[in-house]
Amino acid sequence: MNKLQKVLLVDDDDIVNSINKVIIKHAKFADEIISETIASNAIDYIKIQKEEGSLPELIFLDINMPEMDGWDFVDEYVKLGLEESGPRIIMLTSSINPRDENRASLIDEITDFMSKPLSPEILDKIYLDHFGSN
Amino acid sequence: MSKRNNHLQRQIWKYYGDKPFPKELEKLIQSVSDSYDNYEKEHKLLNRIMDLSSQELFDANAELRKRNDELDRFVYSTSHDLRAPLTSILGLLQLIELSKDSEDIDKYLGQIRTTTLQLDNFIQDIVNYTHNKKLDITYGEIDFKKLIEDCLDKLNFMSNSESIEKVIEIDGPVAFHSDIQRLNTLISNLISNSIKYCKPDSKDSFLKVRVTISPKEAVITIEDNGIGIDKVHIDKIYDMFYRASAKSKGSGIGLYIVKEIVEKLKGSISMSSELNMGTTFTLVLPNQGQFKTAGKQQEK
Repeated sequence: MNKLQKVLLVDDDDIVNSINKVIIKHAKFADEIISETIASNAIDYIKIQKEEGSLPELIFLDINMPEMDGWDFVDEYVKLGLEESGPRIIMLTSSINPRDENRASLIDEITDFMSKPLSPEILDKIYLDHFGSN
Repeated sequence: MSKRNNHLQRQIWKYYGDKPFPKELEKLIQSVSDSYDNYEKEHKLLNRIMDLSSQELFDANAELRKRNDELDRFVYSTSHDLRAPLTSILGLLQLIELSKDSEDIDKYLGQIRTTTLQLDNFIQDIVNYTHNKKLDITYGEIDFKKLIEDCLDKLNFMSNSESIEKVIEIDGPVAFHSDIQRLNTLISNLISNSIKYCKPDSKDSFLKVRVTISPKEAVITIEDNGIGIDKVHIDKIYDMFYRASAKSKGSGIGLYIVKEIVEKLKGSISMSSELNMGTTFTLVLPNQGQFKTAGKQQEK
């Protein structure tokens, strides 16, 4: 049994998505892993899943993407008006800039801010910090 | 009797009034007056030097502030683009450690190579950017055919490069002089964009580089039938770190460097593009051979 049912990866870099997929599988963190390289497609995906009642529990979101970036994504996500039971968003970025981390901490919808790369240890910590009580 | 220093004279009036001055003190007073004069002269000189230096300091300070702001913005964006490939490589190394399947390991090694090349390209871009900012222009005669062929050779590793038909047309009745390093960066940036953004499944992709040289200038057009650029992005394509397309893989610094170099060489650049049809960049660069001969004639 994996810890979560569905995780959504949003990153414009294919390689990053495929790395994260393998790590998440290896850590038995989620049954299903969806990835999108275009943020606006990820928003469309969430809309559909909302209708079908199978939203992911967690979204890993990159910041630096062309056209719609991570911040724009969160703006669009807020407009979807999902309940508190909606997905948690964790920013997963190469940025180590305190300005980005600060900005993320001011947005309620962003649960956490983490630096790439993802690892099994980080996934354990995420589960304990944000899903442990489930 | 030589004229007394004004300042001293005022002091004498103040404390001694108009009474006749004792003759035996005249020599002493004259000597004091000379000292006053000297002091005032030095004081004036010193003030002028200080004025000049503080103006220089103010100017230098303003320049430093500007540079510092630029550097701040640059470091903010660059640190991300340098770190991103490294985090991917770290992730891939982790996968290799976890994996027992040799086919998977080969795939990860391939991805490490791709990512390393991406990092190397970015560092090369940064070097070109600083090179253009810092180094003086050095003019030399340009062999366009060789320059373009060398660029194409270096870009041959790019995944689409081999399937694209490349045409080079050069009309050069006179010699063209410019800065070879900068020209190389310009052309290789534009060509690599054409290759990167060709239509992925098209079998008749082409890339045409045309050069027309006159005594006044060279007109270089780089034309492709690739994916094109959407009109909404056209104003921003030269902005630092701007990426027009969700398909763009680069850092968004290439066309910024191109624009900076064109400005440095006192040329111009224009672009026409239609989505799904292709893009044409036109560079006009002054022929510095003219200036060179004119300069020599003046010397004689």
